[in-house]
Amino acid sequence: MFDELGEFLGSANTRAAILGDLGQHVYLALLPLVVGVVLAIAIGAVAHRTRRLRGFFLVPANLIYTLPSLALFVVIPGIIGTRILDPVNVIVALSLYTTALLIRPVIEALDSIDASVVAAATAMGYRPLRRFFAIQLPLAVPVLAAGVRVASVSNISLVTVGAIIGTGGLGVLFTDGFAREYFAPIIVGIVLTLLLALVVDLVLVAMRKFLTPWQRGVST
Amino acid sequence: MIGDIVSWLGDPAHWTGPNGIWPRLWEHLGFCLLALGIATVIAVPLGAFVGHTGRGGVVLVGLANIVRALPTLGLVTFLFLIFTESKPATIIGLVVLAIPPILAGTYSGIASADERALDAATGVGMTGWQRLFQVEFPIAIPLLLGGIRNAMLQLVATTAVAAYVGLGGLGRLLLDGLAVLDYPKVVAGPCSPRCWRWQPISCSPGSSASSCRTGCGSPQPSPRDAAWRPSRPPRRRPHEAQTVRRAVRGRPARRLR
Repeated sequence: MFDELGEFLGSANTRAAILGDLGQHVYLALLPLVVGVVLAIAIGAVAHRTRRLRGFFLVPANLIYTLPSLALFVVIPGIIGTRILDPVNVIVALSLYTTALLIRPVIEALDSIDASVVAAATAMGYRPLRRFFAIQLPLAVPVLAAGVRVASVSNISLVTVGAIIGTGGLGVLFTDGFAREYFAPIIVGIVLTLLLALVVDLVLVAMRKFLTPWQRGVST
Repeated sequence: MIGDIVSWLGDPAHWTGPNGIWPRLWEHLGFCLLALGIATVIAVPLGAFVGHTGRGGVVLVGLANIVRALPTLGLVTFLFLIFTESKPATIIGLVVLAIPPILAGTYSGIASADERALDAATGVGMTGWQRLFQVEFPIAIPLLLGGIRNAMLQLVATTAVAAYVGLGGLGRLLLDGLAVLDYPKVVAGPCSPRCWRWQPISCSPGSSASSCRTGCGSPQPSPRDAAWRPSRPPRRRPHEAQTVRRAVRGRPARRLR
């Protein structure tokens, strides 16, 4: 098995192809993460302000998260009219998952903020929009960051499923290895996916530390 | 499109028979429940041990996170290649993926028991086991069931993916449908049922259906036959592996054997 691995990684062409897959994977996993975070913050802010809308957003969010990824990947082209091989399908599907996963943490994070802090900001003359971005959102970061970490890990692992429907990413190594009964690409794919998840997680932890300077020194 | 779906679902031929909806549904459910059962038997005692003794919590959380990052497709294809028989291997994969949520649920449920309740239990003279079964478990049940629910969720989705390596279930319908969705010509083509393993990725979106099915013509055993299994290819030299890889990506349907 290790000889195979050596042979597989020994060739410059293979390495270039794997790097291409890795780049594609990062793109397919992280773009939906960003889209999902932005959407979830927007929806969460609305749902936080009007309590009646909570169920309206939370119930579909729970439902979306129960959809099998493969089913979603396959059905989305039929709904939004893209081609089946279009990477946009995966991006849309993963954005949906990320949003669905993050709506609840966003609402909970906004709820957990001390009401007196918000009241103080209002008393100082902050208008709602500025109050949200300058006070509420930064204070929500610790809870939100935990949700984003979970979403990033699940995105990175789900992108590989996209290989079945033919979008790129490290999953190609799995379908490739399976079709050829060849262990090396599969092992390389698994290891790279895990490493990618780890690296992105570390970056997110660093970002959280940077965004919440008042919590430095407190263990996460 | 809705009309298509309704008329497809309305056709009784699509519901019964070996590739119908009902058999596939039962198959899917069976695999999920089997994996869920095995995972529960493994994960609940382990989670209870860690939660009860408080030992190994950090290791457990780390392990659960790693498994969450583990790509399901990679695990399933890997196990399929290691064990020559497809079904047990795939079920091992499903079990591996179902364990962390149950483990985390049990652990956090038992760890969530109020310190005072535990003190009281010790105070009235309960032994460790009695405390575990009569105090900690009842308290843990909501979170434990939440964990099992998460695991089932994961399993339903992953079983669909596992159809890729030949496990049945509803994923089979997805993949079969996918194979014909973008290439209507292939449906009419004589080789369509045998070509399910061609790699759609290698057809650029612009290329026509006919160019995508080059090489499909030679009759091959259908992987749906239970006994079907491709023979192991000869070990390749690196440069050969290279060509093969390019071939897989560049020209789809050629079987590399």
